[in-house]
Amino acid sequence: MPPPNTPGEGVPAAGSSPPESTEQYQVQVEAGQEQEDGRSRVAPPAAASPIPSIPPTPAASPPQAELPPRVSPPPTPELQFASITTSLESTSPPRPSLSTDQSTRPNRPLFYDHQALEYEGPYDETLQCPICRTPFYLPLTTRTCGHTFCAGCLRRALELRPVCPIDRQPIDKDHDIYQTRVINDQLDRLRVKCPNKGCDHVCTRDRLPAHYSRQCPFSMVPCPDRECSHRIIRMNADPDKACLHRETSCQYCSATVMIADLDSHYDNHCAGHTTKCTQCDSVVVRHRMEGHIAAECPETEVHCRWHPYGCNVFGRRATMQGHQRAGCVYEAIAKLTQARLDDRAVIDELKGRVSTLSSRLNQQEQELRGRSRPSMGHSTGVPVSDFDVHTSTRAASMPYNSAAWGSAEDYMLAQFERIETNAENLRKMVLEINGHHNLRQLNDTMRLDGLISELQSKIGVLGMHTTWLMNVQRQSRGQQRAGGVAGGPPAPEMSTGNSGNAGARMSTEGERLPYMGIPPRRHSNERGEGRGENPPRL
Amino acid sequence: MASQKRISKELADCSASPPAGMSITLASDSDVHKWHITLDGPVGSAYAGGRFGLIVSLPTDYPFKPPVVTFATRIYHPNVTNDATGAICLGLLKPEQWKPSTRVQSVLEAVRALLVEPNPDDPLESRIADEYRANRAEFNRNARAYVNKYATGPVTFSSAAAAGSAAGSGSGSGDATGGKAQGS
Ligand SMILES: [Zn+2]
Ligand SMILES: [Zn+2]
Ligand SMILES: [Zn+2]
Ligand SMILES: [Zn+2]
Ligand SMILES: [Zn+2]
Ligand SMILES: [Zn+2]
Ligand SMILES: [Zn+2]
Repeated sequence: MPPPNTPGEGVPAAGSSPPESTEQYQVQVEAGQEQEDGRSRVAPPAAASPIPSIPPTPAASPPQAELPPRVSPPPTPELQFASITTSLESTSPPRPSLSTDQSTRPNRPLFYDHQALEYEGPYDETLQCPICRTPFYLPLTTRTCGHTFCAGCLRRALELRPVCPIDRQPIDKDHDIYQTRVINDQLDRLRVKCPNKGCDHVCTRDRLPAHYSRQCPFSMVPCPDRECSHRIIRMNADPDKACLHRETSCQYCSATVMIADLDSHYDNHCAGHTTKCTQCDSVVVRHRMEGHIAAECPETEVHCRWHPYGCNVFGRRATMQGHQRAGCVYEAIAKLTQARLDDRAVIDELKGRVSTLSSRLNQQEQELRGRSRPSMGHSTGVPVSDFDVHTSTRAASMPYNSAAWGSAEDYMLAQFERIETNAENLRKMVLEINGHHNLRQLNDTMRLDGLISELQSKIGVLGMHTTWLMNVQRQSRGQQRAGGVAGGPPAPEMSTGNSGNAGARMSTEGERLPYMGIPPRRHSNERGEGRGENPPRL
Repeated sequence: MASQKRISKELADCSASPPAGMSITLASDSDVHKWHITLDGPVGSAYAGGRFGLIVSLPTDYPFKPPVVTFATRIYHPNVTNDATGAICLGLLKPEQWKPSTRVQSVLEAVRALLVEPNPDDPLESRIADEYRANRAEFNRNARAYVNKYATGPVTFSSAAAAGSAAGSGSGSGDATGGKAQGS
């Protein structure tokens, strides 16, 4: 009788919305609004309100007559909330296409009771509705006193008495309340558990509608059989399977049960739910029988616990427990074996670690050697080759020993430290050599300086002597040319202060203008003035 | 369903930290709507030493409708009917004064406060109220006599049975135990 619905999906249609919609919840909301609109045609006044139209009673709102005769969920506040959330869009004209679709829709969306949700972890007290004592769902705040409640909670409270449920201020439901949006983010982020029994899904609250209506394998969905009006959990809603809403008789209690309900029947109602263990006579939940026999039943015959280690005692579990408690001889063997196995495992593990470590060490050593040689050879001179050889031979002769070094890191650290110290020593050596070198250079230079100045003075003296000798020669030659008139030798004149000079001047000028009293010209004899007087100083 | 959630929550809170001198159990494990409370008479009041049973019934549309609280143990009090019904007159429980945000815990504390300080201006038993106002000594004596008569044994919550058995066995011994209580 009901029109077809999407079989695989199993989600009750949600109107004509695209199935991939993540806004499933929104879709539900709109659907709810459609229903509101449909209803308000019969009972018009609520629609005109500027405030979310709050339907008078929950029973009045779902248009039951339009629904197919299915097991529909009890009317929940969501439907009314739906009209509230979409109230801002309520000015937009209702979409007739959706409306007609809705009237023939086979099933309404799935709803769950928001206030029954279980929240994971604690939540802020300020997010808790003072009426239902759960985090707000679609919070509304009073204008007069600023108190916040779930839309549904406030609606029901105002139905009974139009006053604030906290301080009893008069509240006009059409004008004195507004939607509280500021805390919606916080509310959306609260983590909730899926309300379906058997499902352990946990998600943020804003994602729950999508999980519940589209994914949860435990949600009730319409039977894939179009002729069937029952619902079934999504997990079992396999279109290939025949309708599971056929009656069968329980194999344990012979009650008549729907196949789809068998599991629940076994767990809850079945008179044959429990059964007596055939071996020990204790009452056991039927589906736990296997576990009982495998692990509990005292009458089941089992091997001694130490059977794998050689004990061959076999018997009832009860006696076996006695045997084990009294002390099975194989227990010691078993424990020894076990200990040996444990040791073995430890040894193997250590072995593996040692080999990986030593290979890693070798690799690092090679890297080190390759790196250290050129750098040192470059920075220092002769001593390095000696040092380098020393280092590398030492490193090579000292294989990594985990016991001595603790860990590979410690070992490497020590190596680096040693190299660093060596480098520091080298630096000092170089500085020292430099110093020596400079000092020697300085000494040499000073000595040479002294020598040079000494030589210079000697040269000067020699020059003076030469000049004096030349003067003497000239004078004597001049006297010989003058015919010996002057007579006496010039030597006595030389002994007085200026005689040398005068003599010298006379000699130079005398060459061109002999015997004439021409004033003396300065002429290359300045030095002669100073030194001419004491040639014997040499 | 929604109310169930709040009720279980309140029950858990109340059991974890009950009001002074009270202990809380459920009338039956399957029904969270009926609570049984054992209340010790507040020290310093006329009811000290007594042990009273209170029955809290939470309506299906709790918290929108107020809970109904009755004494299962008879008590001599201006605001409690002096009969087996044990109805209490408590302002915050009156439908026109009930606030859905009020919790059972507050209600229980209000009941306890009523034992410490009766409210003769809003009585259910005007004779007792008058006596409370005019002759406090007489009121205290009567209240204590009731305590000794009805509120000394283990608390029973089937109010009719409690009232019947207590009335039957207690009438004779009332004065004697009353005297003893006054002496102590
Ligand atoms: Zn308020
Ligand atoms: Zn609420
Ligand atoms: Zn789920
Ligand atoms: Zn079916
Ligand atoms: Zn069965
Ligand atoms: Zn067994
Ligand atoms: Zn053994």
